[in-house]
Amino acid sequence: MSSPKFSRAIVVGASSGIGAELVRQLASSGTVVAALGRRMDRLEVLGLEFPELIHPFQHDVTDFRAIPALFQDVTLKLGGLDAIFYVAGVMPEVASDEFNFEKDLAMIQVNDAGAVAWLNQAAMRFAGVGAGTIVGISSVAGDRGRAGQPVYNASKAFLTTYLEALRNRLIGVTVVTIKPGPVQSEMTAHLPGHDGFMPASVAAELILRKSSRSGEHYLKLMHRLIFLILRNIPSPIFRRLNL
Amino acid sequence: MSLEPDSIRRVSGFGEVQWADGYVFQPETIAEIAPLFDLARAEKRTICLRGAGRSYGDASIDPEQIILDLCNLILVLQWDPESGVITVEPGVTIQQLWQRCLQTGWWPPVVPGTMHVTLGGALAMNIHGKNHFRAGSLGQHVLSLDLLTPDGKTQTISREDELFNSIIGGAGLLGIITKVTLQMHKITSGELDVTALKTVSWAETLAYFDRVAAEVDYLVGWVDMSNPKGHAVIHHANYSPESHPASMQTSAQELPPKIFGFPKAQLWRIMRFVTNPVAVKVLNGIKFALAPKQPKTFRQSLVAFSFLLDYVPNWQKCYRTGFLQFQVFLPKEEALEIFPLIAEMQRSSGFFAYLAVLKRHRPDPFTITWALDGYSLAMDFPVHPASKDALIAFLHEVTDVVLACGGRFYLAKDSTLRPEDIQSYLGQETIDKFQGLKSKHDPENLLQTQLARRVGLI
Repeated sequence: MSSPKFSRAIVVGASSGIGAELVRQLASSGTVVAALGRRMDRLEVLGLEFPELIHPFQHDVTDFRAIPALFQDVTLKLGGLDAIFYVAGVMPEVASDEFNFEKDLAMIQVNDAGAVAWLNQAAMRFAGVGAGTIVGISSVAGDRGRAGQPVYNASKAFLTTYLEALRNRLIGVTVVTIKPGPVQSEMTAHLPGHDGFMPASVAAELILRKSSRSGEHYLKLMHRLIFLILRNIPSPIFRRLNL
Repeated sequence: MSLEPDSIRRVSGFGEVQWADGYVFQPETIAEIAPLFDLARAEKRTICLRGAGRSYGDASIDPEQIILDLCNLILVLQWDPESGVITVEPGVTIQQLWQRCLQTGWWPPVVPGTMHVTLGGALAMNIHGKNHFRAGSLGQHVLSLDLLTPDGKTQTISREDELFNSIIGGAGLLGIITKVTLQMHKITSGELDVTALKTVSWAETLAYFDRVAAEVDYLVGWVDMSNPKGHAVIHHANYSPESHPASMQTSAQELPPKIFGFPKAQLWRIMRFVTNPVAVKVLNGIKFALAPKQPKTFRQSLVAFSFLLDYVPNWQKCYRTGFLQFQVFLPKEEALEIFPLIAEMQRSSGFFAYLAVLKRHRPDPFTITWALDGYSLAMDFPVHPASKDALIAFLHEVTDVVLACGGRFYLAKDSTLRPEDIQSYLGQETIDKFQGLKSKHDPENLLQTQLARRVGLI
């Protein structure tokens, strides 16, 4: 499967990790990309790689009220829009006995509310023109509620379900849910075994390839098989497995 | 008023090669237009005027801008069947016009190959028909028009006003035509006396055109561009002099519901199977073989003769991935040399026009014009994504040939002209004059189109 060709794309959450790699790879295939993120200094450095193609925008996805106007500014700058990638996500370190509402709220705001704010804009637009691609970076973590990361799991489950609903609502629009496993990034840097995770560049390449087809996609065949089983284990048994 | 995300629509040129997503507004009344200027200012956008979207390229599209679609402004404001003078809103189509006027013995003085164009768009692009050599372009039959400029003011411009000649053909850049007063053409019959014949070479075709032009009302040729000699089939027609009221009923003017036994609404699907070089060559050969060697005369309704492009609804979709329309205008002295050269360039390049239509023209008084004393050849080139860039490069080569001999081009049909091209055939003085009017009537450059920027008109 080859990557679809987008003329113009938005990447939300482009300062680092998968988002920065997506911007880089999109631009290298000739796509004009709006790179949105909190850290403008990093976006500008990224932009230097393809100064003609990459347009950095400073943006915090929790600044919800600013999003409709910013969306219009960005699409004006790009001269149109073929695809939007929502990559922004946070996963603060949470101890196994910790219930910290501040951390939980941050996850809900960035992983979910920000996604809805951005992707609703894209959905309205793409519904009107009857074309377009929406890609949301969810996670295998959304497939089950596990002891270690209750709100992170739930936030990704929300995103997966929201994207499924968009897929069912929007005619002619490609809606893609990506469920990566662990990927090397700042978000996962604190996790044990980080060095063995999939490099962000590899993840971005796979995401672009899978963006041609509506549906939910894992990035590894092994994940697809493992999570097929895990999703179908009845909850009382799942609880005893202590996964 | 604001730019609503759910007002974004994809609008394309009729060739379906160029498209853009924009904020589409479809006012129901003229009064709803002026506030859009303020919206454009507040949102730092520009306004692209659009009628029926029948221009083939990017004349009525502009990405991310306000697309002002005037198709719903369809009132006939005044109609006098005694004088044949009609005053309409800009969204009124040629179809509405003839259906309204035919029964009382009036027909639009100039019609294009489709009845589904709006008057506003038709005048902005300075359209012509198969009677151009005789009747001029549609704009020459307009008595006056109302122009709404971005300052919110409306002025009535008569054909004597100097500005008039820059509005016709002005591509919707000087203001919005909100009202048109047009002189219709008197007829006594809804039929034409049509003559068909075939010619075997460019020389014969052009000579025949010159011989009959003084005597006929309409004249058009179909040329087989795949044939090295220049096989052609010519049709010419005269308004029937008899009084024949029955033929002036709308019911006597219907296009056939079926063609070769196929329901015409679905015919484009079938035509997809023959839009390839081999089938087109075969069909062209058959068409030529079946055409009468000696002139053959028959009667045809005005609608059936005039609106060939409406026989097959959605015919543009038969090209699968769209097509480029490319119409060259050549001075009469150069035509016999250059048309065969263009045909030869096509054969050696591998790009040949699936459909080519020849017409005779005369000059007109308009500022931005394609008109000259000569001939035009309108050609359809199918576009395939893989060879699109090569096709455009080839059309640029043809453009250079046409410009070198004093030829011209037609913005409604255009997708490929570069700023130096229109500068070449219009002349810098003309462009300066037009831009002077532009800065006078639209100093903020609120009215723009993708085409206008591409060719450097603004």
